[in-house]
Amino acid sequence: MIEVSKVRKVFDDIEAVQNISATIQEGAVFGLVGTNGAGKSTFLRMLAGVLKPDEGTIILDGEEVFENGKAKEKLFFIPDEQYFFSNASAKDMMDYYAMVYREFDKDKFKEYIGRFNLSMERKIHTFSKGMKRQVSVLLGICANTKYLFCDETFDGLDPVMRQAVKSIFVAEMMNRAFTPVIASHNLRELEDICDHVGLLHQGGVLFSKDLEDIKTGVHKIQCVLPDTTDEEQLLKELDVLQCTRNGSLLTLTARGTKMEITQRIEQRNPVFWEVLPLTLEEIFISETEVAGYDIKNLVF
Amino acid sequence: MTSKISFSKMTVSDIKRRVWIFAILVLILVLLMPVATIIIIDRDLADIAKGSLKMADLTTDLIRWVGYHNGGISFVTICAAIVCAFSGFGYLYSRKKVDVFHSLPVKREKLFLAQYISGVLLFMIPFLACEVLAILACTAKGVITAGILKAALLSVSANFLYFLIFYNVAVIAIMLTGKMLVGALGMLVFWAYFPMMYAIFQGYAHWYFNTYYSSPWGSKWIDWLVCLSPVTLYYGTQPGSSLMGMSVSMSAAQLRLITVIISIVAVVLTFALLIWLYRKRSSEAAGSSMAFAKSKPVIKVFLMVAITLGSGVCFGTLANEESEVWLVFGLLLGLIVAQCFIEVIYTYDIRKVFFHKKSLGIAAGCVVLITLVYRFDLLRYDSYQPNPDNIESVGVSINELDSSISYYDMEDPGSFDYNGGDKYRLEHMNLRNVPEVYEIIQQGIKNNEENVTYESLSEDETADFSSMAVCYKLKNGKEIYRNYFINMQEISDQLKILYDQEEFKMAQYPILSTKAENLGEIEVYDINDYHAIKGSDEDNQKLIEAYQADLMNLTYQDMKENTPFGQIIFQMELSEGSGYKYGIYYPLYSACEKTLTQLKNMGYEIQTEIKISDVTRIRVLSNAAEYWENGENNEGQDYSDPEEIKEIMDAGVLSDMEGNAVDVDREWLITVFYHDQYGNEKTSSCMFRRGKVPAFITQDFGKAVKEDIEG
Repeated sequence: MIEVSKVRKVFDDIEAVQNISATIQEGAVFGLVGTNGAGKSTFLRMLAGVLKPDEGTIILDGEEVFENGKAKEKLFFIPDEQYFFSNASAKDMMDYYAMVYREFDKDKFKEYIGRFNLSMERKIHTFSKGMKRQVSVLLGICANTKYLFCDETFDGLDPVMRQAVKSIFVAEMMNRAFTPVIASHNLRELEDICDHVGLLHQGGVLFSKDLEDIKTGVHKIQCVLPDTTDEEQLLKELDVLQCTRNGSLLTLTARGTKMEITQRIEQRNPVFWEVLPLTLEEIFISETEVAGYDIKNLVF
Repeated sequence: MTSKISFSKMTVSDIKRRVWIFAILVLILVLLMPVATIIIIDRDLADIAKGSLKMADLTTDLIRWVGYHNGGISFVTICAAIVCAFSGFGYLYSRKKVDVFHSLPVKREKLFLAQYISGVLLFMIPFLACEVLAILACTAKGVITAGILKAALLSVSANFLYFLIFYNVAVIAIMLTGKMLVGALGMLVFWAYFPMMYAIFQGYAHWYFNTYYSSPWGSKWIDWLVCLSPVTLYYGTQPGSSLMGMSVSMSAAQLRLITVIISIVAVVLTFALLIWLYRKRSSEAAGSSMAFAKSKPVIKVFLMVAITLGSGVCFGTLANEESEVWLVFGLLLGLIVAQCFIEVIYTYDIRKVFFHKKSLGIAAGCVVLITLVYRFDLLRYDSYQPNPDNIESVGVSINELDSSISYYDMEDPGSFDYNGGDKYRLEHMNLRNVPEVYEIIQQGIKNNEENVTYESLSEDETADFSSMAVCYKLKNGKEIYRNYFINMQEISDQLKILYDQEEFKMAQYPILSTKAENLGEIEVYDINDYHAIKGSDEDNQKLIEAYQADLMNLTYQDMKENTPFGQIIFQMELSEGSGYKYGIYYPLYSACEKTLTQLKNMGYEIQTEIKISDVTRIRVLSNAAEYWENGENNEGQDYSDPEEIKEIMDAGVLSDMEGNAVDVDREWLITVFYHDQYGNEKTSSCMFRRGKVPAFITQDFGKAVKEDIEG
């Protein structure tokens, strides 16, 4: 388990991460989502022991991470910009990581490299961006560490490869203690893999919840009410994240269980109403809008 | 668990990644060492077979080549140190590389050490191998000697030591910065900053202090600044160089030893510093100009002070040393340029060049303070006089006295000094209870107070003056140096007494303390001829002792009245087995009776003067402005009258000997045309003694000028 407590990081006069607290449970996929500049990479770099928090603590299985080999042996960090030694092949990188990570599984790596149609001997600098991503992910998986931190790792992977990597993640989680932490701004990528999502915004955590709880706790409703008094009353009664109107059709995104919301609407004798499926992206936009990050301001 | 990750495997892995450095070094060093050694051996052996070279010359060539003083190897050593440092730790400049390396389950110290040691091995393995190959080549060719082995061993040790210094300094520069370009600039700053500050302080001292004494071996605290540069430390171990900043009371060998000790200490300290910096350096420093935000204003102030003062000295010196307007202009320009330059490097934003005004103000304040200290001599440098009770002894070195004597140190083979004897004299002279010395110094202090300097006197007046270096050796062990401007005529009486002091003589003439067995072949030049003295060891020893006795008995009056007619030269091999021979030149005066008698006993007739009967004519030419300015001048005037010839000869000093003569009037040039004992026509150049110019000469030249003007 990773316990992050009141972590803060400042670069010069920019507060990249402010007072973040979160818990990452074992055996679940933790998705770290957030706007650009929200502090996802900084947070992951702190989790990986690259950066030292200015304040707060990061405890990984009871150990401080920064400059602690024992803790760091349990994690593998795939940064957003991968680095391979100049002129190195996949085999060279495998040998290097096998030297550093005692549990590195060379056979598994060779097998995955074959399954992904990559070459062990070819120089990595001749690979495409997506192929390089694949090598990074495979190195991370085959290091056999308990935690795998992936920063925008799925960027550059085609849908097939993305699915393949996700299935490897699932397989790893079934076979051993494996906890991937995946930072991304592409919510669709996380939606079908993450168990838990932490939403970062402007250096702070907006929320950190199980995906299931999020989905059952926020709903999108379309309704037509008889008059404006009912509308106003309904908006007061619900915890509305987002509200748009198209003629008499009111579209709401509100917090609460489906039952609670349904009861409130039915009390207003709606002409028409229905609950629509809500994507993680819509939840993300709604939550960040509440936090002052209004997407409408960015759309011309 | 982490400790189980093999350190040696990490080191080997790093070497493999940088194998290109290894390959390049092997290529260069193989060519520079074993291949070049074989070429030298073959070339010299061929010359030896022809008889144009001796075996000792081959040994000398090989010692120079495989030894420490091979400039090519030094250059490769420095370049290798820089390349190994930047290739090994350059990853600190890249965020993506830092992310990988610093997320590994390896302690940063361990990672650092693996990178550090692999950098050292990348240089040392090929260097050591090539040095061994060069020695094997010498052995295979049958030319190996203990001297060559010793030189090779020294080369390996010294190049390793200086590789480490340059390597550590480069790594420190990387640790302090976040961008490659800034790191490279930082390294150059480490190389140049302190020598530059030293030069600036010297420039200011020369400018504002009349009694400032500068020498390459001063013992002022400021001289130690140069020890803080790897370049000057490296230079300090070269032959013939003594590290600036060292006490005069040390020999060149001691200085080099101290340089080596300082270098070893520097390696240890810089290594400790860079480990500390590595631990303190945050990963997010990659991409920033400076890795430590707190160091930015401090470094900025240091750099600004140096750049600003340097600019002031440059403009002031280029324009006119008296021009303080240009000094101020230089200071202002330097301050602005330094501010803009450093801020642009820090921020990469031209719009922010005048941000951070506080550090600008502090730097400007430091510059003003330093300038005022020098300008108004706030530390009372010029007027300093040690309390006589605190003085242990005094050493003096008078420029105009025996300026052509060769100085050397038997205990230090590399110390042969062609550039004057200040160091030897001040080091060896410990005058106590000689009040005349203080009278001479008092005259120097008085001249300074009255602002009597070379610049304030006319050309004619300066002829009577000489500069005199003084070393006050205080009871507390400190050595204080000053340079005074003295009128040789006014202190003539004191000089007579001073010159008769044994302590003075021993320091003035190193030959007096040299054992006869250390002096090799002897040669004598007289008026006409060169004599290679070929006597028995006993005769040679007697000759040396005779000359030492003559020199010890020589008085200041003898020097003033006697014309040195020739030179006695001792060929000395200061470095045993080196093959280098140094000619130690000493004057021969007619007062050297014992020497002349011994030479005569050994069968050498020494001509101490040009016989007047052999002189066919004398041409006199004057350099004096008064004879040049008003006439087209002046091919000189010829004199062939025997009476005039005698008078001129009596007043003349041979030009070759003028360095050993007192009171020479350098405004007159005399060419004597004469026949030697074989009937060959020869010429000798002479000068008049001061005040001895015959009246008919000045009359004739006065007349010539008048005719020129009228004509």
